[in-house]
Amino acid sequence: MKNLLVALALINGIHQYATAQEHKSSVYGEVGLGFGQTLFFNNIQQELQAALGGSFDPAIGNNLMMGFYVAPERWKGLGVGARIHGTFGTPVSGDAGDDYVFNYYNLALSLKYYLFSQQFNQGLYARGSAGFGQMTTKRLNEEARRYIHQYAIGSTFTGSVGYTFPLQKSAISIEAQFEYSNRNGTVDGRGDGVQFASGQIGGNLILSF
Amino acid sequence: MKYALIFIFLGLATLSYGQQSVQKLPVYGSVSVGYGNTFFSGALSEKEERNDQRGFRRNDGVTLATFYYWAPESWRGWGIGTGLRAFVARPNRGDNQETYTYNYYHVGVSVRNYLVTKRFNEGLYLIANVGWGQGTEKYSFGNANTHEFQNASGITVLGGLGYAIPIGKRRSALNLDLSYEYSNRNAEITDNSSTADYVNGQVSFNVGFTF
Repeated sequence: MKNLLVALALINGIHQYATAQEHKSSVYGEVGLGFGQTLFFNNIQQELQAALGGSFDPAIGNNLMMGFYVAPERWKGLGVGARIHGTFGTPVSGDAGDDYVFNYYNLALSLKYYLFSQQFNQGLYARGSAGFGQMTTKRLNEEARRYIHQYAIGSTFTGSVGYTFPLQKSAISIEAQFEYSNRNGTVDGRGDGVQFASGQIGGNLILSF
Repeated sequence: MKYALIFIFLGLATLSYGQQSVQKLPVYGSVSVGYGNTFFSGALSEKEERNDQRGFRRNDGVTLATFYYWAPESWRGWGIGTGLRAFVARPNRGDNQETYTYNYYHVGVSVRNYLVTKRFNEGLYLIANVGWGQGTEKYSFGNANTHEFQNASGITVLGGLGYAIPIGKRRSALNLDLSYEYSNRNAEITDNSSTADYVNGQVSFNVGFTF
């Protein structure tokens, strides 16, 4: 119930921004693709060892993202919106001889600001997002048909810097991003609240309109 | 070298033209929350039946969706977009301190049609989604402090009927919808010779804003 009230409050906040716009045309959509190197922080590998019976060094993953921003002209380059960002890691061999795959995503409230042009969707921008989501990991041995799953849920914070090249009715952006996540998982014998901290450094190509 | 120069010239010309005549496309954002009830089928149905016999209750929870749509006026009430729709179940507790929790989502393409008014974001509308996503579940055995996880991924289709009540000068609208979604996901389970079909349906009532 508490989560529902928080979600309603957030939606109402976005709605207040939206109703403040002067023209219908001040909502911008975007889709993007990219790649990123997943980073493990703190003692996540020990926690994965406890949860899966083995651990691994993360590889580069593929990013997929979409979002929209409310950005009236009088906000001078600032947009407020929602963003979904998912990463699908490539399979890696782990320290127990099995393969490991993982993916993670977050749904976030996001701010995007065009620092110099003061016009949304044009020029250099900085983006900050705060959201929640899940990381799912799987240890697998296809020959033995053995699969062990684990997931953790928590918060994600993302910072990006990019440049938008306007086209006639849309724009192309390239950006670099850093992401930090702190998620809670459950492990046998220890229960809930086991911390899984990870992040990513990556680059994206985005179409916005 | 010649082609590289032509490519760079064309790219700069395109960017230059774009900067001189930026036109904004008609894009609508949409966010919603709701209440949903999951109905399991196949292997999941057997699990649900066992749970019911041991005191577990309704498999309900909260929906959350965020989409955006491209909807030019000339499309007369049609819009096409993309986004995410997620469901987080309320932890379901049964006998012996056992708890069943799960969540699932899909990311995909969405179509809306405001069939009566022929104006996007006003009046009665139909909604249809097709997407891909994953579902995860966790069984916690409280007495032994052990936990079993399972993950599955696959497709989801959704159909719904809603009503949009314009707010202010039609800049945005309150949206109410009743939706049904069907998901068929594949799960790799230890010692199973083939993947298991994780099938579920869901009925939900959702409230949100489109702007």
